[in-house]
Amino acid sequence: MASRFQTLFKRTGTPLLVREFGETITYHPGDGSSDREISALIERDGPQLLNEMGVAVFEAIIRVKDSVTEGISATEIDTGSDEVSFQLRVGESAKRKAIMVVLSTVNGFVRFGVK
Amino acid sequence: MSNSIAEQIVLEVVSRLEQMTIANSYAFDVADVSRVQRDGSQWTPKNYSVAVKEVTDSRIPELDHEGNPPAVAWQLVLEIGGFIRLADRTGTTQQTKLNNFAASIRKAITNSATWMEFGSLAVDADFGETQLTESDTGEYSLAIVPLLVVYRVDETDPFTARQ
Repeated sequence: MASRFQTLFKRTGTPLLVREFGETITYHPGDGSSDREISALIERDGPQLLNEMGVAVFEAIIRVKDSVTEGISATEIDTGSDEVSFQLRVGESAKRKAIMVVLSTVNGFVRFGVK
Repeated sequence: MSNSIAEQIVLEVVSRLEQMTIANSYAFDVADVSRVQRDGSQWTPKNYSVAVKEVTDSRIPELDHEGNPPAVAWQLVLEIGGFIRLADRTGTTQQTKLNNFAASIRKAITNSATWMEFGSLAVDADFGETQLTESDTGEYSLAIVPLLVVYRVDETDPFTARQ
């Protein structure tokens, strides 16, 4: 059961943060349902790493509203097939990246890592 | 100048792997076949995608041939990585898909009775020990299929194949 803080933050803090700092990305559900444009907070600070095959991997952490219309709901996100398109560097054209891991689903945010 | 024989062999391997499609009687369409690169913006782990990595290219003096110039033998070792991403809460093991993916990779490479010649570029080829593994944090699974290709070139011209 959500705490009072979580309920209040979801109602007021999350929409405010997304409105003030969000940028538009496109969510591509892996189940074949329609793509949708949503607002997201993106941390692009992660370094590029080499994976097991020696291929460089870009990593980012993204927060979106826990919503099936304005974000991605915690119950619909699938780290096996979902993808998002966003600018890896500000000003570039958007690139399509896989949603690899759900990091948290609290306070009205779904926070996930992409590669 | 054209590509070296080793590079031409790798390009042929990539071309064969790109033939893994449902239309060609495989159980899946390969998402993409990529090679190692340092630009991380270009790659994302897709289900049924493949990455090809050149590991070593080493001399095999006992397979050299006489001639003027002589034909010198090399063994090119490639690792072919097949990536699998299972849906959340799928309830099945990824190893079933990895086993079938690794077999499909071997099928795509051995595409004819003379597959090991790679279009007269090589003299022999074989597979090494397949490894089934996971990414560090378990986000995707990987079948690594080593491919060993023996080829000969002019001692004075690595761009000219010899049999």
